[in-house]
Amino acid sequence: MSLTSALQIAQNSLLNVTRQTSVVSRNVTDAGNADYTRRQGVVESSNLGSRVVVVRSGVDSQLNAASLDALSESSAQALISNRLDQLSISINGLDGSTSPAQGLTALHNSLQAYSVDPSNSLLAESALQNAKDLVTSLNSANGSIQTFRTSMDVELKNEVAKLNQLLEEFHQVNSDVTNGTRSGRDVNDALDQRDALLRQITEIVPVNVMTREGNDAVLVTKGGATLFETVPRNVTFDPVSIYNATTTGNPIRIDGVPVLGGSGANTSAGGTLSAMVQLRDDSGATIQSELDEIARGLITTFAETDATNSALPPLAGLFTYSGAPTIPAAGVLQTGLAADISINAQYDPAQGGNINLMRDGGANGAAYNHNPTGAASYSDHLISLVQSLDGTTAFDGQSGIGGSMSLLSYATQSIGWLDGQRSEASQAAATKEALHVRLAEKISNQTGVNIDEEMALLLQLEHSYEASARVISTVDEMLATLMSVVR
Amino acid sequence: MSLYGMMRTSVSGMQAQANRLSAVADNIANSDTTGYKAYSTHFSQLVTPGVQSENSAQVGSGGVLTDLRQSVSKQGTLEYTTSVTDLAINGNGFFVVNDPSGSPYLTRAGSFVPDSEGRLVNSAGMALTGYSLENGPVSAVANGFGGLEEVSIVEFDLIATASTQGTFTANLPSVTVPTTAPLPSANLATSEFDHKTSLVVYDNLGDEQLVDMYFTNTATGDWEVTVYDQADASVGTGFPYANPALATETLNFDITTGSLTGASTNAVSFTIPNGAATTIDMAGMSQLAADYTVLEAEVNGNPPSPITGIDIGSDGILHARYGDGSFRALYQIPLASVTSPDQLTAQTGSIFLEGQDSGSVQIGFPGNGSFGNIVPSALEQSNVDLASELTTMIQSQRSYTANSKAFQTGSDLLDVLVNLKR
Repeated sequence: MSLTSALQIAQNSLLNVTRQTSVVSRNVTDAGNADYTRRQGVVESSNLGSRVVVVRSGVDSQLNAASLDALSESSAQALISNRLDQLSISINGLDGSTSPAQGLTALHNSLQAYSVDPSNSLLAESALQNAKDLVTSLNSANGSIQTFRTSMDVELKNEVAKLNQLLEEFHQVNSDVTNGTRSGRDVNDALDQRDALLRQITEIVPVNVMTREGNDAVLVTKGGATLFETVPRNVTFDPVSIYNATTTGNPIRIDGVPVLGGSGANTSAGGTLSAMVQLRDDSGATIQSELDEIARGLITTFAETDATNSALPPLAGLFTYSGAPTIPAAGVLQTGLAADISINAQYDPAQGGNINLMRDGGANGAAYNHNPTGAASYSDHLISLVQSLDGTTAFDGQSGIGGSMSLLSYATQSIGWLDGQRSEASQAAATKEALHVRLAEKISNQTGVNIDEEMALLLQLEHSYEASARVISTVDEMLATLMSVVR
Repeated sequence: MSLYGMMRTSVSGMQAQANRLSAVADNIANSDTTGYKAYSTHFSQLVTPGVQSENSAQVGSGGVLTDLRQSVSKQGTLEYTTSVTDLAINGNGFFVVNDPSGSPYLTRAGSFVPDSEGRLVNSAGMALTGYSLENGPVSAVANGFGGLEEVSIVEFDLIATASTQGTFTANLPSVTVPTTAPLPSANLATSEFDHKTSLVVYDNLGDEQLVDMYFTNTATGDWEVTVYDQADASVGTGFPYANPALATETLNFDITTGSLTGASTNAVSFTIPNGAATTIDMAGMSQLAADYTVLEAEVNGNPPSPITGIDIGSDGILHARYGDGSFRALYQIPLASVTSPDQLTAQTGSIFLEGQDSGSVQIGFPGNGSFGNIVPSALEQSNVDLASELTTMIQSQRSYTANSKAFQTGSDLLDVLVNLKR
């Protein structure tokens, strides 16, 4: 040891303190940045003297993986809860005001009133108007569902484009990380960026992250499809421009492997892609089939029956569809019926029909006319219609609710089913959000910046800087003393 | 003896101190020279025989012999720098450098920078030499400079490496029901698979190619692995591919342990279109009751890219870093050493030559024996300590003055003697 090396060590110490101070300053600057991970300037001993190595606060990898999973589940659930609310409002209106169930109740009531006073033409018109409203409500609900499915496709397309864009950015940042790591550069900023991108990707599709040599990340979806390995894989999707009830949506493929939708209101889906596929193919289709069943129930209930006891089949009456006059097969879902259902023109005076057919029947010929004499106060047919509205019908189990029940209670249960789904989804969204927030908080506790801590560190650094500077000035004085001896 | 003898002795003393002061001046002048080794002066006695009789003894006035030594073996302080081509040695070794005429020398001055020809030259213009690793690992020629060439990094411009091997480890879910649809190996539009992963591989020209690997459960514990070139895939679904599968193998799992049976295939080999034969090791695959999870997926090879920088490790291997982040070892930088480094002959430019007493040069690799390690991004400062040099200077000054006093006394006495006669 010599004075010269003392000087050099003190100088090195000044350099170390300066670097540590710059790390503290960086921490303070980024204290409000959610993507920033706290750095630590650690002094490490090396051959001669010490040097500062910048270390990024590590996160428990289990915790990180759990947080990513929670994020993707939360984003899927929030989307499902939000979209189900929208769907419910567009089909049923606020508080079910425009729902088929409401229309059916109105029709039921007006028919009942009409059956009490069959000669009253005002009551007849009112019942017909209610029937028309019901058809409009079914048609528009069907339209809403298809618009909803179409809009899901548009959203999916945007989401896929966003995912491809994110993967491209991930590629860039990942190359920075691997190049930097291999050449020993400081890659902490690139790592922060990569983590932020990873979180954005996870919101769209849940991933497992594997790290290879040189900090090279490989992303594999939870379903096992390769998303990123050296280069991003293609995520492809072909949106359908217009949906009708029988259209099947195209799958989203990640590296050729289709993305599966989740199931249930408390969804098993992770990431928005899977949630959107579920909404489009599962939720949308279920509500569609419920409407179809209501439509089938209406056509069947209001079908005209044989008045002559000659075993003629029941044929479409007040409510008809493109397959009329035969009525749809009993107990079997006929997809698209809600869009197809209409008011029989023969019943509607506005279309040149006869409103009295409602009272008597007979749109399918004299054999179906229960009141051949045309008595104005004939009410038997109307009473039997009201009774059959209350009677049980078999519904297809393919829809959300199946089994035997009255048409009215089926329509009410359909609203109930959707409301149940909504409330389950919204509850699950709150739970999953809470889990995600808790985990994010926990990670933030491990990686975030605590200004108090930084300030305390800064004081320590100030002192060690002073001490090193003191060593330098002392050595300088000693050398000066030596110099003054030389004359 | 005589006054003349005494005066000659003090002159020799003054000469010796002048020598020592020159050495101190040299040390102070070079105290900031990278790789400089301090000189120290050592004296020995020169005896002139006196006359020894029974009654009296006469002193034989002698003199001082000066011996100059350089403390080559004393390690200088390491100072860290930001340049990756600044090299220091922690230990006894020396870099082998060539002067502009191509003769080899030893040096500890490692402030190398690339010149216009890509050679690494230090501040004295000496070019670093090393063994080329172009044809694989080398061994040092122990006792000579044979095989060494000047390190040059321009000629390795664009280099691509075709993939030849890789590792793939994943868990295949044990609960899968064997498929009844056509297998991926049938390459039909109706082919169905259970799981798929794609990997990047490099062909002979370093072009990135994607290969699709399909895993399909065919029977309990049996999984078919089928590899296709993704470039042949049909749009969207993949199947059917324009060309038949690159490889099809069957992995057979032991249903009690979930790992591959001893008799099972544990690797898939295929030839990458326009590339080399590649073997993907699958020995670590498992079949447990968990989801399909990829645990490891690696294939070697790298795309063509220019050198973006170089990197020298403490083992002396010079790696070129390519644009895509991959590395390639280009040179092995050896270190030289001699039995007695302090006896080396110093030359202008902080370089040393094998001296008569130093022993002959031995070449070896950093980290072996007494050669020491290379410390990248550091420079070895001179081993001069200013304080001790200044102290030596003061000592010399005093000795010199004392010698001159002795001389002056002799001269005064001669004066007295001369003045005896008037």
